[in-house]
Order: sequence, then structure tokens, then C-alpha cells
Amino acid sequence: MEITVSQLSGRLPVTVIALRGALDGSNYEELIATGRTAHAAGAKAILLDVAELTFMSSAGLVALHNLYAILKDETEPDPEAGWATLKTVGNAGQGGAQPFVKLLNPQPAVMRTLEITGMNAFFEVHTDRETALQSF
Amino acid sequence: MGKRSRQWQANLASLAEMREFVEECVRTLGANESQTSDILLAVNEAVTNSILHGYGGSGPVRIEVQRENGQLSVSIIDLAPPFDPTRHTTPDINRPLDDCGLGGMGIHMMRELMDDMLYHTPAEGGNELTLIKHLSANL
Repeated sequence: MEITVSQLSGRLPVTVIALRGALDGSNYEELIATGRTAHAAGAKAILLDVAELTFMSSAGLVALHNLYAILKDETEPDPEAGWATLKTVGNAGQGGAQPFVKLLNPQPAVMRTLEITGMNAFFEVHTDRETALQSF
Repeated sequence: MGKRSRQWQANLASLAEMREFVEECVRTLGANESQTSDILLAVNEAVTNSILHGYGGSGPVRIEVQRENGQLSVSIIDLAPPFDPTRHTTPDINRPLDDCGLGGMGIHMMRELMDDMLYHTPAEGGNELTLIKHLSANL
């Protein structure tokens, strides 16, 4: 999986992380590490451009959740805790999607992973880059 | 049509190659785009569980793919300690999420993605998990 990071501005500065390839158990920690680095550099909002991401497993969901926890300044969950790691997202999501991490242009296969786990309720999905940037 | 199978000394770095093998098989056997996508995700979760929770990182995994009576079946066979995912409780994603581990999330996804899931312990030990997709029902 290739990861490209860029800084763009909407109403707020947004860190755009573009993913290309497949996100699975072999590389999800790279995405978490990228989020950690971005946060250390001051990132407050992450837009994940997944237009060229062809596959995302449950490990990818764990990475998404970790990005959320990093930006929310929560203690990062242990990825091995699985559903438990997503629990705080679930709780936050009771009032709608959380505002820290959003997705741009997921392919059907990636959308399917989000939908069958209910995670589409917690990660806002956009199909237009400008609208996505302005939404933060 | 005959059964196709391949074996790996699998670890997490093998996942992409295993998905490629399964994709090539199921497309050849008549799965459409969404069926192929569902099967790949389910197999990925099953193999990930075998590697991480069965072996603790690495071990032999064989994948067998065949089409019979309008259904595609993919069997994941390992030599890890017996674990029957079909008896695992499904988390309710509509309630505050259940604490059932990353493996539990994978099992939930397999159930959602496939039409059936069969498990048995082979005589030589280990696990054989068969994931089934009815092709006709989704065409």
C-alpha cells in the first residue's frame, strides 16, 4: 500500500492521507504511524482519500479507529482488542459521525467493509474533495 | 469442475498473494464483481484469524476453491489448535459494541459476506473452515 500525505485548507487545515492498493493486517500499522506523525506535526483533521484503495479488511477499520483516537487525543486503543477498540467510536457515533476522520471516494469493496460492520455511521463519506475539505 | 488448491507457509505478508489466488479462481468459476469482492474479504478475515490467533504469526494454510451445484466454496485448512468460528457469538453492531476481539469482528464479517460457513476438525487435526457463496441467488 502506498501512503501519500498532503496539507490542504478548507475552513480549517486538513491533512489529506491518500491510500493506494490494499489495506490489510500486513500494513494497517503503517497508516496508524502516519496518523501519529501527522498529529505530532499539528494535524487536527484527516481526510482519507481512498479512491485508489481497492481492498480494506477489519484491520483497516482498526487503523481508522486509531486515527480517530489519535486526533481526539484519546489513549490509542490496542488494535488486538477488536470490537472494543471501536467501542468509543460507537459511543461517539450515537450523535452521528465523529468530526475528526472522514473518507473521500471509497470504492464499493471498501464501502462494503464499512457497511457490514456499521462503521459507515461513524466515518463520514464524501464524494467531492472540496465539499469534504469544507466539511471540517 | 475440479478443485483448485494451493498451500502457503502463511504470515500476514502472504495475504495479498492468497487473495490473488482466490480472486483468479472464483472469477474463473463464474463469480461476479460483488460476489468476488465479498469472497475475498471473507477469506482474508478467515486467513488472518488463522495466522494471528491460530498460529500466533505464521503457519501452513491451504486454500481450496471449487464450484458445485451453483455454489462456490472456499476452504481454509490449517494445522492450528482447533477453533470453531461457527460457534462464536456474533456481536450486535447496532448496540454498544461487544467486546469479542479482533477475531470476533472477522467472524462477524464472514457471516455477513457469505451465505454459509461450515467447520470441521480434520482427522489429522487442525481446522477446515468452508465459506460458501450461492452464485445463483446473487446473479
